[in-house]
Amino acid sequence: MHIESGIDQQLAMLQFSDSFFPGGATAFSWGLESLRLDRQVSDVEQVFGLLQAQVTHRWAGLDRPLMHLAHQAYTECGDTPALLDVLCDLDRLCEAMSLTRGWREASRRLGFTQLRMHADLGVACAQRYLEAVRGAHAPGHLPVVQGALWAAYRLPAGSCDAMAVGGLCTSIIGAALRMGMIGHVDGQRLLTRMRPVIAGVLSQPPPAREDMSSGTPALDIAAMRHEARSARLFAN
Amino acid sequence: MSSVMPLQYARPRGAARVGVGGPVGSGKTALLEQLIPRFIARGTDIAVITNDLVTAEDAERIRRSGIIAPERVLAVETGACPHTAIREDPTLNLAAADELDRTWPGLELILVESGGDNLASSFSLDLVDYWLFVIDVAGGDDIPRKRGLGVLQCDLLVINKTDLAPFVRVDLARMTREAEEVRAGKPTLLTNCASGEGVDAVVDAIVRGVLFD
Repeated sequence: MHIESGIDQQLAMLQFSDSFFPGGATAFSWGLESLRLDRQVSDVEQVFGLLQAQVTHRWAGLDRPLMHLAHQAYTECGDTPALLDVLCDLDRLCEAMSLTRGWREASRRLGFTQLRMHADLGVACAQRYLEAVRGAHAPGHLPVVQGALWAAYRLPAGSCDAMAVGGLCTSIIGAALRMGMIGHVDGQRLLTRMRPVIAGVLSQPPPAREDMSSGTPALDIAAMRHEARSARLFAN
Repeated sequence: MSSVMPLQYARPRGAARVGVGGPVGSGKTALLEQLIPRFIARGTDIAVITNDLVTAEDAERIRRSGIIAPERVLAVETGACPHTAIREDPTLNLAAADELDRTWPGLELILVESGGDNLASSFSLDLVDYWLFVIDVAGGDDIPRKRGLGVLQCDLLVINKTDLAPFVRVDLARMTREAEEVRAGKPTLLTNCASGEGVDAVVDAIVRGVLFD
């Protein structure tokens, strides 16, 4: 199952970023359900606004650089004990910089499902990282997991950007669709409209470790309010 | 060393996992409430995962019932995709099962209750070792004839609320016969989960199917 370049690599990207890949993403709305219940978001334009905020003010400044650092760590260390030390350090940074429990738990749960799935597929470093998470030695946050695992498949960091941010958008738009906020055509239009937004983000290098940031106060409040809701469809 | 191994890794298996699926209102939670004390009485170390559609009501109902320690009941959100959570993408249920296995060493059996399905639902074979599909007489005696995946493929079909058959004008004998015909020899059992009638046979079937004692 060694991935070479060319079509094999492209097919691997499609496989791992497809919503058919079992990663648990369907259970997360990333603030959308909470904002809908609070009547803050109800139509296509507002969903688009939420997508932009998630991508430009949270993912670009926090998840993306963490993923790149994890990717770089695998590229430099390979599957060695030193790799786990770096990943654990990045995990702790992610934990500290994720303000709300809703974001932290989502990131940990989705990181765990990715690790478990890729361990089942035979990725050696996924198995070792999974054991560290099971042993409570590392939280196993999603962007750190994505960077390390996709690097293990030798997927370029730029491709990982597209896979991760595309997956985030698909997850939110899928939630909007299932909550009856948009139709299926609107969903595809939103994905199309997000392309230049994403391209703009990706035209810049990810921020350095000391410059990482996340600034989404409305989404953070929505996530906090969601934690206490007894009636909800989504985990965040 | 290659970064990606061939498929030689086999994950350690924990407790046996038994799925309990079926349409909303067919009596899945009521069946769990009858099964749990019976398994505890026979000394089986047990835990429960519920897949919740909107609320954690099923999980809370079981936690508050007093029949099992509340911390042995986990709820999984399904994001309005109850079928996906037990079939196409059961990863959050697998993560919950992992957590229970880690938390309770010696755990023997995890019952995974689905979030309420239609007749086409089924469990991923990577999620469960054995699964039940619960239908009830009040849902209509034509359900077996519709040959839904759930009815056809489950390891054990349970027809619940048998006591209601006369009141909803269901010919229970015919419904049972038709279920057995479409299931080609796989077992079908009748229960009344309000009284517990027939539940012992369900326990026996699960024991034979996955506990081997």
